[in-house]
Amino acid sequence: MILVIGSGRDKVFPVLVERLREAGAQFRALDEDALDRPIDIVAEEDGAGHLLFRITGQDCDGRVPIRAIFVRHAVARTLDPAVTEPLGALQVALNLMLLQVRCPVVNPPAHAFSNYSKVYQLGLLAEMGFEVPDTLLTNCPQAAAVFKPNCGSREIIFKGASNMMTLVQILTDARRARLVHLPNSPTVFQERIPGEDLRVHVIGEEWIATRLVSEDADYRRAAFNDERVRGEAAILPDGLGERCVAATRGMGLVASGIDFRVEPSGRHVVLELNPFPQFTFYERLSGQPIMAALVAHLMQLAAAPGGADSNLLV
Amino acid sequence: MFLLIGEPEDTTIASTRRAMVALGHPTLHLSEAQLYGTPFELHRNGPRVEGTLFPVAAQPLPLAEVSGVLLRVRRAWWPEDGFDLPDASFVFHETLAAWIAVLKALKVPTVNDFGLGWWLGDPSYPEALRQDLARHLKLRAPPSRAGAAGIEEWLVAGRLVLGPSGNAAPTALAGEALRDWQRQTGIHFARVDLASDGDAVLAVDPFPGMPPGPAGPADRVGDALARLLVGAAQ
Repeated sequence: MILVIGSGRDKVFPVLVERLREAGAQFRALDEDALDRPIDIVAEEDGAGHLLFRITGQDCDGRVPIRAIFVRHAVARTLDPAVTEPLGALQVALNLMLLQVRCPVVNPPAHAFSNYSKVYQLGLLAEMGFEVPDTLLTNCPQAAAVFKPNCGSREIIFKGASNMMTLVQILTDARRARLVHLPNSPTVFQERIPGEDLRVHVIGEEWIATRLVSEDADYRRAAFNDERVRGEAAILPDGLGERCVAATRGMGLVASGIDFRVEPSGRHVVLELNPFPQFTFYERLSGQPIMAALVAHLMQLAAAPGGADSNLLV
Repeated sequence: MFLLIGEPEDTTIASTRRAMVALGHPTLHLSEAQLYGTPFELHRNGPRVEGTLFPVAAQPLPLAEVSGVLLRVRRAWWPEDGFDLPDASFVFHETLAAWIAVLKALKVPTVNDFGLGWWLGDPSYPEALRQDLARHLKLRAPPSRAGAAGIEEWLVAGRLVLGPSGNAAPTALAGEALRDWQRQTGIHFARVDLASDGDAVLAVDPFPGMPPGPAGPADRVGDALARLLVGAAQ
């Protein structure tokens, strides 16, 4: 039995539920945004001093053992405490439980923080041997004004330092006038890697590579603006897929979406690793079976030997 | 140069600063608000990182000249007035994420070198530390304190373990297993609550407070942390 935790308002969770149903998987789904259908989580010690968790509410009656979990927490779409407080309390309770469940979790939230700080995560990826862009993080207008990437002829892009949604922009002469605002908020400046965007989804031991083609400096902006973005299957150089799997596992994750820029020379430069990828967005663009791979992996985890020793009942 | 980051009234900052001065090591003290208001640049070029802090009223400090960090950030900072709530929230996260990158880029002894869960106020972070410590010490981590006959609070500062009334450190906290946990988690200064019969870890507070004054443990803790920072930096 698989437990899927997410939000009915999300783009991935409803599709995953549908695909699990189509695949004939046994699963339960918890919708964190269904605040009118509350969930209760109880921890109790079994006779041997081990913790046992029971979830009741929504479709759960606290009796069915879970052998694999997919979690993609709801994102509060408001700052209204009437919404954020109960949602936050539920997610805290779920996260505390997820620390102690014995079945595999895709992905453990406690291991999924590194992309909160993009430059910190870039350092982790550099230490793992990936090529990274020449990067300046600063709140200093003077430092940003004189930043010159090693390849001096390249354009400079800028973006946010955290995982708050920001779209990449090119630092044009006109935009340089805005550097005076930097003391208000640190910003990431990077060499713009010429070439194509590449997204590699890692799911367990597998990877699926997607090339993205758009006229915009950030293909996501083009997609938001309903401009043409093309996605197509890509082949990775020898060893890169395995390194993506190792990097994902090295961060304590099972699945990830890793963004690269691929130079015309074939040099792959990593930009970031997303622990909660928008699988469906890339599947829609490329037609690649990304969600099918996720469903197959969850079903495989749930069927793995040893899964009978579950300490989570739903 | 050793960076001490936290409020001046923080007993750990004050006592460690006194000990650092006594040991003859220069320190730069910044409050949380001063840290986030400090101009900086961090340049990453492949695996190489360099940068500089430009503290107000102090000389520019290249990151390569930072020898250690005592981190006592209360996580109480919020952008000054002038932003509406969504903008303030954005500035808060951008600033926090930037300083995490700067502090994590310092490959120097840091007390405590918190995981991102702590920085983000994730309530499961101390719980994960508790369970991890229980595993290291081969003790239980019960779901609540309810069944415990009694609780003993221990202050751990590097190799110093202080009990509630000067008791000797319990066996569980005296061995190499605690050192392994400290190295693995980056948490060198913590309050550890054990069941009084010594068989369970009931809580781990990675940001313990200390009472001020000569009768408290502050001076011994400050001395232990200063020696830890200096010793590890050498």
